[in-house]
Amino acid sequence: MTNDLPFYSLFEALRKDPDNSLGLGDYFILIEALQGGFGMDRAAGKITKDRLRQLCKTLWLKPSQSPRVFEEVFEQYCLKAGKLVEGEHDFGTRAAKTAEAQKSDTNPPPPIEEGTPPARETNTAVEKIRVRINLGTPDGEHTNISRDKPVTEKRTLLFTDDFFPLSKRQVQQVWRFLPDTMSVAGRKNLDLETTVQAMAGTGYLARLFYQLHKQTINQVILLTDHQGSMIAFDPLTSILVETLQKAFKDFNHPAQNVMRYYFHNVPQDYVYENQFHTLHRSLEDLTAKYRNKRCVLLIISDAGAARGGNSNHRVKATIRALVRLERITSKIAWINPMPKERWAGTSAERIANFVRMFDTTPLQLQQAVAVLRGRTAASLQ
Amino acid sequence: MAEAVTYSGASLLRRNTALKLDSYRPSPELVNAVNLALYLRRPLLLMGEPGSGKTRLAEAVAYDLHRAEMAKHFFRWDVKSTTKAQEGIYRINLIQRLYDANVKQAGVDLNINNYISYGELARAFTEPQNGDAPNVLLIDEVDKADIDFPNDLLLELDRKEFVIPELGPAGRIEAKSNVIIFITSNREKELPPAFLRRCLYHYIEFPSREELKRIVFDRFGDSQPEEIVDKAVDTFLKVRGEAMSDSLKVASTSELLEWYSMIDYCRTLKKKKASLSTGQQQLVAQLDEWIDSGRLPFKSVLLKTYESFVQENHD
Repeated sequence: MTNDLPFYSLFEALRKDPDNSLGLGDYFILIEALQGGFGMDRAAGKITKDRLRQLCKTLWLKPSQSPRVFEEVFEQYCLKAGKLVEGEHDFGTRAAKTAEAQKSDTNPPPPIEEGTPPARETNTAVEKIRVRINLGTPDGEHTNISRDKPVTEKRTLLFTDDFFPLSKRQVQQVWRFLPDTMSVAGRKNLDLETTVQAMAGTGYLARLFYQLHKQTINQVILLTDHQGSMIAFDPLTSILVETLQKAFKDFNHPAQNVMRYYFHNVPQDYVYENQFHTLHRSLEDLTAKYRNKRCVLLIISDAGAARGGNSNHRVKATIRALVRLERITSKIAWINPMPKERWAGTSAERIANFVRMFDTTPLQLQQAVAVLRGRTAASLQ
Repeated sequence: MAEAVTYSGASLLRRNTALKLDSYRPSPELVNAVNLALYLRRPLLLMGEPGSGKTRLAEAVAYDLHRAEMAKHFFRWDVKSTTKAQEGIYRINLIQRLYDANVKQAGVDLNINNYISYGELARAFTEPQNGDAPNVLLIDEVDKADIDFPNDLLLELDRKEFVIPELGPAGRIEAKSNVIIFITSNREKELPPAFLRRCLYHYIEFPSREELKRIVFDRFGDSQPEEIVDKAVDTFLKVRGEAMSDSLKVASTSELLEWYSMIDYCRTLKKKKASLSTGQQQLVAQLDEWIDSGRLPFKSVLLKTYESFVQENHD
């Protein structure tokens, strides 16, 4: 059976992962390898699933990517493609290559046991069930959780952060613009050096030269909701916080000490400097400390959208807190890990009327960064 | 492409002190990855725990392809934190040339080629290969250098040519020989995507218990008693399991072999009829204690952190 573009849908499925940078060249190299006889059981002359998986992994999986996501995509492809994967494939020069490869070397290799699969998985008694937050299949269908091993008595639920809609790399690329200085429209400073130079050139003072005033962020304050409904988003929050801290540190920026405070559900009267809530700071303390310091404020919380509740109490308390926080700075952005579609009918929707709220997709995060850098609402959306 | 050259993956069974080779046994997946790299003419990026055999693989492949001629066809570039890409390609001694020009002795040839010496990469590209078997270039611990270093090598890795600007138009030198390039990394820093795109990637997994036993037998000979090897591997895996929280400071395959060599040494000491020195007696006592009560001997080889020492003393 000749297939014009063998395994191309597998290649496309893998490209959907935002962490990789596969190009067409990578697809062609798969074809080249298949022509060379890799990916198949030489003796039988047929492609086998294991060898194909091994081949694709060596060619396409890069160190920063998660092997689990790769395997998942591969399994899904095999389920869909079924019989197309194994079997005879005509790749043109395959026959000539396999004949050459079977030429005996001076030292015949020791027989490799085919029957024993590499027992690389650490614990066969434990089955991992992956909890998914956002599944990105194009048709929107739910796919079965693939099970490789038989179910045994002991089951452990493990958390994996492989399936979030954001990859670390994407977030890094968004935060990258935060430390940049920004020209403030309308404000100009006298550019003394250029003026003096021009004057030295002509001999008299003809005109003054100006520079646009540039401003940069001096301090980033992070208020993160944790525990309760935010437990599920802990890896996502970590990604956001760590990459944010790193973005400033890499430039040795004055705002490198990102101050992170914790709260639960609503930053009502106090926020806490650590996870155990033993070091408290009242909102007044924060105002006194950070006022007039050119700060920006980032709040990471689901605002009630995770459980889907609509609580008057929560909305009012949040708005009251926001009013007090606005005394510190006007540049406030609220990041909600729940996708926008899930805000409707919950407290989040109502709170979003009072503060600029964004969900965790790269595009929305870019707008959040724009807000923090001082763009007005008119230029957004 | 007349690519009949493949890596057989045969295990190196005994130490070859002349060529400084230790016993080495690659996994089938690794052999496959090497053959892919040979066929597709792409560099192979190897990652894995420290001590998992990344460097050894390159040596094993060089031996497999070139046997006793290995020294002429194996090129090794050890990267340091101060390494720049140019060092692997060439070094030019301009000061010497200036001196010679000023001194103007008879018989001194000022041709710039005399003052250029090739680095490991350039040598791998230009020195003749061994029949069909390509030269082997190992770029070891590429993540030690700064972040630009892998990107500076893209032209060389991609098109197998390098440039020496001081030679003018003649400075664009193409590789005369085929080269298989092994690159190892310890994951200290992230590698740039443009560089990763051009490489095949293989992660060397930690061996299974059976594979560890075979590795010990390979190195120390099949005459080792099975119960001792069993007990040693089990003890090793237990120590490793307890220390797994910080995976960079955990004992790996090479530590197992060093630790076992102590066990082997003590066993030979016990068999000696002559009397032993105090130091030797202490060592043998540790071995006996291990066999009788399971107390971990020669701790310094296997325990890598303070916490594990404390924990060991507790047990």
